[in-house]
Amino acid sequence: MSVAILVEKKEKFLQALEANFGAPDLLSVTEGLDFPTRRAEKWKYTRVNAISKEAWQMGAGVLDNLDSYNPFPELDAVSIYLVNGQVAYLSEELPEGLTIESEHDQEGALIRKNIFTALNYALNPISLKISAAKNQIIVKPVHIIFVNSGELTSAQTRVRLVAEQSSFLHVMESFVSADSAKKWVSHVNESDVQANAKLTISKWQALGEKGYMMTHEFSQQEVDSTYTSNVVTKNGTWTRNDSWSDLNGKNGECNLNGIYQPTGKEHVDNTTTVDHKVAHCESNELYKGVIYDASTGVFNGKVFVRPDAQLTNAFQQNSNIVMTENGTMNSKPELEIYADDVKCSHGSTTGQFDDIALFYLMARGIARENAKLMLVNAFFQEVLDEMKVKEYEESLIVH
Amino acid sequence: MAYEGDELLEEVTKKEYEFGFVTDIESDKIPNGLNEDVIRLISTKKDEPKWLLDWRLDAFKAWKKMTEPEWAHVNYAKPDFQSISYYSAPKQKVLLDSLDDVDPELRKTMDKLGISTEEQKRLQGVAVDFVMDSVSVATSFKEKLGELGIIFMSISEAVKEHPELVKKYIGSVVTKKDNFYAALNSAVFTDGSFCYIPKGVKCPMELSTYFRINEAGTGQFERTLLIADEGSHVSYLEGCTAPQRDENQLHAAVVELVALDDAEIKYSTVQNWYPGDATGKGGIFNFVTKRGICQKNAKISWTQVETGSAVTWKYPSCILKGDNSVGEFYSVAVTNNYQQADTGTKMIHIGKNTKSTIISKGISAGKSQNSYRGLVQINKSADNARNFSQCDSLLMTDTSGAHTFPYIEVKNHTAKVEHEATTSKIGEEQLFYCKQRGLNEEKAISMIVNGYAKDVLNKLPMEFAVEAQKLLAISLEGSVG
Repeated sequence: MSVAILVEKKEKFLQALEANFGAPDLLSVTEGLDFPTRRAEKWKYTRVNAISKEAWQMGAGVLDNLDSYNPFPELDAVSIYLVNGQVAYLSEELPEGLTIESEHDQEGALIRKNIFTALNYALNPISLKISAAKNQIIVKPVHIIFVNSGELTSAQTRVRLVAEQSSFLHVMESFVSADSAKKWVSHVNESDVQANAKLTISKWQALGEKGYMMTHEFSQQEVDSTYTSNVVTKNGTWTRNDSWSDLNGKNGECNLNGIYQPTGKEHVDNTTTVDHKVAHCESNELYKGVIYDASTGVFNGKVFVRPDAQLTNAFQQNSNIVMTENGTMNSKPELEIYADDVKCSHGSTTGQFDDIALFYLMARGIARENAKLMLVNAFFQEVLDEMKVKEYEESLIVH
Repeated sequence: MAYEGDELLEEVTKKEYEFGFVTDIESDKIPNGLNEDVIRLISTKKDEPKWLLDWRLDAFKAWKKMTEPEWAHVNYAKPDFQSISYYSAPKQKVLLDSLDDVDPELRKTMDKLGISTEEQKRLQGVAVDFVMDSVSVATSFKEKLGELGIIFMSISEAVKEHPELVKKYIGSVVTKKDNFYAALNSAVFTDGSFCYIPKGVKCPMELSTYFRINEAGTGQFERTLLIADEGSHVSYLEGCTAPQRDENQLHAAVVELVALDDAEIKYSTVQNWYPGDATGKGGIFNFVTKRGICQKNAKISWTQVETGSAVTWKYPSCILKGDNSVGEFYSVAVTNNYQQADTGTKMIHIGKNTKSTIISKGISAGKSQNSYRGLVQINKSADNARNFSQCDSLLMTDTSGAHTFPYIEVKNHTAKVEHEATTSKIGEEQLFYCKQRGLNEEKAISMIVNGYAKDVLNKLPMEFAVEAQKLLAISLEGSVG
């Protein structure tokens, strides 16, 4: 596509957003940032055309029967409901040490990361800030349910997380649809994990048919901290999860886990960047996917070890099963290493269903379909063990 | 191989690039610059048929519209294509039948490079095509090969003597518009080797080409075309060196391999272009396109030992078109000082039951950057395709970098693709163990590195394995600090 057409396309896209969201001059906000094309290394396997061609609008912030959209009604959690990106319900009783507030913010690490993060800040100046105070262990998870509805609506949401020194916080984010209209959700997380704190974000993505989902996740960690990000892409026409994890303090640990199981013509892309900036840190990445029908999976992981980051341990694993002849899996596990005393490894496997294992089970009287299910369950179990989220396990493991 | 006494020690302490001499031979060099007239001039000098000139001009037109690729993980000042001379040939008119007839100065060069006829005799026959400043100057053992119907000559001779073969296969694997440097090569290539192995013939000796850039201010653009007809078998070696100069010289070659049904090609390279001095000044820019196509049951195996060049940008690839075809890639890439290498392979699986293996060993020392970049693509038609890739990196210093960029694209559910990579430091315990047993540090390192690279070195033909081991030792000299 020529440059002129691209510029015209971007202008048209932004004009619609300006009109529909009442947003200020988006052209200057996104100056120098363009729609990524497949020539960009990080967008080699994922196209944004389905999003960039539409005129998106803001959805209404109210909806009846909110509870019915909770994918984990049994979960004992501090619940927050957002409808089309606007806060609709917030539990009033908060455990000690936990604060949740809406905050006007126009500063963040991701504000100029790409055109979509820039738009996220411009279209929605208010972010939800959740913090755990120093030395507080927040036992109950915070569960944010993002409900989306309406034709061609777009929710631009942002959640900031702060785990103060030696605190513990688990935030779960569930993205669901109220209908099957075409919608676009663009979600930003910016997390500060302070010294000796433990923060976990778990995402459940189930936007279903015609759901276009983007997440942009940024974390920065201080000494002795642990950051864990879990992503389960249950369903959704098009999903792109981008994450940038900075290890800024010694002895930090960063864990990224993902499960995806696209069906139909769905497209799921997990792109991660782990930046080991200092010595003595560890990062673990484990992404597993089962590709059904004519769907596509993408994994693009990058581990960056800076010159001073000696004694780094970085592990990256991506395993995939392609179930049908029309499925596609693209995997790009990258290592960029500038320090010498490190242990880094990555592995990527893509294969078909293990026929011998299937035969073994069937020979023992298990029907083919059940045997297949057992094998898929076993395949995902390794990731679920890392995630340690009971609800995900219960929803994914089908008996 | 066993070294006697301090032989290795002596070799590794030889600080300078061993092949950095210039041979004083009168040469025929055209003025710097690149335009259609230069291409016409090259074509006229080579007395080429019209179709080839048109082919060159077509490539040049395409090249003018292309931009230099920037995705590789390397930094360098882009060459000024107008300040390069595109043709330099040793002034020598007569075509030679054997190395004995070669100009004494040239002979000396060959002797220094270790490809003297004596050595060949000792090694029981390796047929050599010697290319200096882009022009093939001598091909040995021509007659003996001719008896079997094997054609081994410079590509400019082949254009005259076997135009039908050249016309049919040139540009069939790497098209003239394939990429920026392949297009440039197609427009200005001056010579290279041509080889054809007839049906069912197993080539009795190793075929070898030696490339040498001699003249200052020139670029070397050679083109190798190797065709293995049905059921044939050939092992091909390629070596390269250049004088030491402060300037960066460009080497942009194209190698095309065609393995027809049931044929097997083994292509080995020991790349030792001048890497620049310890401060990163000078050295060769090595931007090469190498690709082979396998028909039914055919096999192509690339083995490379990369120790030279200031900047390397090279991905020997296999298109596994025929059913049951096999592609292999074995590589050791060593970078020292300020060298940069972005190298790897592409395995394109199209046929059914195709197999590929990738073993890549990177060694980074000094302030160098060493990247593996490889693509494994399983297309929809490639039922039961199988790939195994292993890329290991060894870091010798804390100022060097080792990077891995694998691309795995799977479009067929019956495929099995595995990739694994590790990056680690040279083991202090291993070093200590060797030193404790009386080896000095240099020797210990050379031993460990050779052990680490053994998987690949074992795949090299014997003559090259010896050279490669020495090269590894020399390249890493003084690299642990």
